Amino acid sequence: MATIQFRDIRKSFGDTDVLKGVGLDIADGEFLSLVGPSGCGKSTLLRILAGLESQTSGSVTIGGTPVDGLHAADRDLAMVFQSYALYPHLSVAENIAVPLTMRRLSSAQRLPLIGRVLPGSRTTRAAIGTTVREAAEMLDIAHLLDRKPGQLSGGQRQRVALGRALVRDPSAFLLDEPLSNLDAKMRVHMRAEIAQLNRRLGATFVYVTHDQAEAMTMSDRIAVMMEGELLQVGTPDALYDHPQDLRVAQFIGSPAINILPVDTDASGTIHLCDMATGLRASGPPIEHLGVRPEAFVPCEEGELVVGRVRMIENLGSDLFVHLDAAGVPMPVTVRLPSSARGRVKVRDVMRLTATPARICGFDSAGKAAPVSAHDEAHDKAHDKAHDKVARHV
Amino acid sequence: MTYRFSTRQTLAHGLLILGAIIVLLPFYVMISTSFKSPAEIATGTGGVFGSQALFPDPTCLALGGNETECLVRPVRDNYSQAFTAAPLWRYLLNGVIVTASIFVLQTLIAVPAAYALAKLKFWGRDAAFALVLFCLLIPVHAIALPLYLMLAKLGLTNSYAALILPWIVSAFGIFLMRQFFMTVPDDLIDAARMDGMGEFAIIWRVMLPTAIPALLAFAIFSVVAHWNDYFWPRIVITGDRSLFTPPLGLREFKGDLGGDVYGPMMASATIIAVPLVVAFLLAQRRFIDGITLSGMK
Amino acid sequence: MSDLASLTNSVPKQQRIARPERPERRQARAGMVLFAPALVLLILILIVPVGVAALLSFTDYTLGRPSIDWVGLRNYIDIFTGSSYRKMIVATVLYVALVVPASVFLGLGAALLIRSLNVGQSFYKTVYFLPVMASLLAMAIVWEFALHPTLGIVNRTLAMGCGTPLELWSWFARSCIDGFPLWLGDRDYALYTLAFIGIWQSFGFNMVLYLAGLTSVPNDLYGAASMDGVKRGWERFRLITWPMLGPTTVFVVTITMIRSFQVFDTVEALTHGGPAKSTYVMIYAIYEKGIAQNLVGLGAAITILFLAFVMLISVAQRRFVERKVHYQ
Repeated sequence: MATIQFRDIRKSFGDTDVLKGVGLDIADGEFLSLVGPSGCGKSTLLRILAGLESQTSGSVTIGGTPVDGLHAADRDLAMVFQSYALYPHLSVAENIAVPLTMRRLSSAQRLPLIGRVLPGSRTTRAAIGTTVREAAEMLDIAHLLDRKPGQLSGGQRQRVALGRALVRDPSAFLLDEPLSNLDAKMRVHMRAEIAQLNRRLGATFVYVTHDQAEAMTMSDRIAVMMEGELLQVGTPDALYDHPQDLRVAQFIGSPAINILPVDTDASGTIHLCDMATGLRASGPPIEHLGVRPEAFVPCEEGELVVGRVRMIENLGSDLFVHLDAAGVPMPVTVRLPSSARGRVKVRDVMRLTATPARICGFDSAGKAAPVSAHDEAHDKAHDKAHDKVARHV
Repeated sequence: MTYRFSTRQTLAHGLLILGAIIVLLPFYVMISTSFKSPAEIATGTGGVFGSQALFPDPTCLALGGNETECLVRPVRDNYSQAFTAAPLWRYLLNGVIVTASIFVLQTLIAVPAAYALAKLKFWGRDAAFALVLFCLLIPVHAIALPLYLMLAKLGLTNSYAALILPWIVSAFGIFLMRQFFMTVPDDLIDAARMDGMGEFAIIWRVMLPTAIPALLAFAIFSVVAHWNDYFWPRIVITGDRSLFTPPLGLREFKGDLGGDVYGPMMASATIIAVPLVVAFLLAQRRFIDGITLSGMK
Repeated sequence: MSDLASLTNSVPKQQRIARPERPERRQARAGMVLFAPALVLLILILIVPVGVAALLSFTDYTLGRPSIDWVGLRNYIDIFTGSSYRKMIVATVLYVALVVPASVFLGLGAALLIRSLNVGQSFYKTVYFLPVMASLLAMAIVWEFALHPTLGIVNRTLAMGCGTPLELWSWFARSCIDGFPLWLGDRDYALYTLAFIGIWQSFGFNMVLYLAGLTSVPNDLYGAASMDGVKRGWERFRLITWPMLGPTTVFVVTITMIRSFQVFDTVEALTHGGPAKSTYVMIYAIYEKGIAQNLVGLGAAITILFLAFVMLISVAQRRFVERKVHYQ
């Protein structure tokens, strides 16, 4: 079993707190991504799990057994590094074989010339060779076994690094931004391969990345970290539709969510820059509203925001329109279907609205707070606008 | 735009050739004399390689042989005397033993120390590196006397130990390897740890293979310095001739023979100087790169 | 379960589980253990002897005698007042003063000349570097033979110049009559001869270092200088090459200086410090007094003096480098 548990992990370097009490449970066989901007502590957390660094306080448990103080090589984990960390003087086959030769051969059997003639050495080495070849074939690099890393492309090196992790047959794979050094096309291809590997092997994958798209496409669950704290853990859908923190909302999703600064009065009514929004805060007072570009709908009246079009991005399949909206410091982005091409022009005035169900509210601390419709009248106006747009399309 | 035979180039070549003549002079003298008979040496005749006319060997005559029996060819005579008048093979062997042992031991001690300084964080590491830097400043000649005394007290003079032990820690070697090790990426070492390598295994399996150029440079530096070392063996080998290193052997040879027997003496000098010179000629690039590398660091 | 699992497990396990310990502690421990031998040896072989020398310099110790007396500064006073010691310092300083500038500038000159060539660069490089590789002792003995007053090729060649216009030079004329000098046997010439051999042996090394330094001078500077109107070789050298070679020069000078302070082989094999102590250099004095004559206290005092000289030079090099010489 390879369940992983982090309990209240703290890590400080002198006066700086890199991890501030992180707690996380990872299920066996799960693909979990640790995402966050640079410096948020995700790599540190991974290294603590690997046993390359130790935490200042808190505990790490693998498969129910606490592993604190256990040597990295004894934790039954395999790690793939951002720089691949392949041994430059060894061939691909030898690189992949290293974890096996380290474990299966005694120190005497590992000596350069003498080791090979010691009893038992030949059979073990043969078995290792077979394992290496199997792994290489699984990763489609069997034809490269005799080359040195210096002669391989980035994608090929990546696979050798994966092969080296594979042959260990570990309970969990740790991957530290393995795709950041690849070009875009290779990255997309490898994403699929890695996700497939996880399904095929059934092993736990802990994947660190700063790219939210990678996390979204590959993971069973995502853990968002910022400034040493775990902000939210959940499925990609949960994080996307119901972010618990303003920062999570802003981090996940591309193009980024629209954040509207609002005021909540004593009765709970929400105003955007003195204009009625038709929304009220059912819980604590709300300071920000979050609306995804695809949640916005153009309307004639009863709008949430109004503004002038400043830029249009035509992606072929979609149209992203950016407006300078009243009361909103950053441009508001709305996604329109391709049929809207040609019908929106720069400097047009646009009115947008959205259903309360798809609007996220955040209180003064940036935490999610419930938002509901203010009154019936507003709802009616919205439904009419929605039908109109639906007919146009 | 320079023509092949422009005045500038000719001038440069001219100067350089003049310099080359002076530089190569002793080599020429050494080799040429080793080919000549005593008579030719005394009169300075015989061309470059001597005329190789047979001449009667004085020792043989003294032992009672007649002229015809004692005819020898100069070059063969000189070189065979070089090997028989003193145990030159033994000296050469000593040179190899001492130089090789010193280098191997230096590596065994310096490489782990350099790895620790470069990649492992331990209390006192900065002080340790400062110590190494300080020791770089201490010229070995300065400590020869007290070292000799210490060895004498231990009864270790006139032994291989005395020739080898003082050199086995090389501050320069530690420094050079450390600078090189610092360029190895940390990720590689972490990967090795995860693969199950202990620190010791990491040194010999990961660090050293990637630092071969530095090690080679150090090897050249060490071998040249210790093969040619005359000062320390002179001090420390006080009686046992079988332990002479090549320079010592040559010196004794010269002392023994008085001033007259230049032919064999030059032959000995040639034999002693030849190994390194030949090695150098075969691998010039490596030698010069190695020296440059150690120098610039 | 992966298909690899069965295969991997069919191979027998050998591993031992390491003792539980934080990785940082484990590495720190390893670091100290790995450095320990070097530490012990450095202290034992380099530092302790310095201390021993310092201590002994205040005594009248001789090897083999059981008793040992403290004599305070007497050894040092002897050094600074005794006539042979004055000669020692003079000989050493003079030797260094001769060898260092010559060796450095010849090295630089050779490097510049060689770099300017179209063809034959590596030939000259090899030739000039040969003396560095060859055993100094062997070559010293050869030089002794070459400089032999009657048998040696030098005097023989010089003698060929007798009867030619060279005789206009009065020294030459005199030598033609009296015989050319006993290069190593004459008090007036011996040190210069040794210096010559020292220069011969070392300038090739400096040449190699300068060649490396020259390649690191950015070519763009020369281009810019041309645009600025700097045309002639000497100007270019003064404006660009020489300053950019600053660090190399400091290094070369220091190395050559320390090496020439340590001269021993040629002295011991060829002149034994004479004639009339004209070549009585420091290291030879240490050898003669401390080991051959078994006046260990005195030898130790000279050792300390020598150490002080060398440290001074090294420290001066560091200061100089930091302040003046690194432009990049």
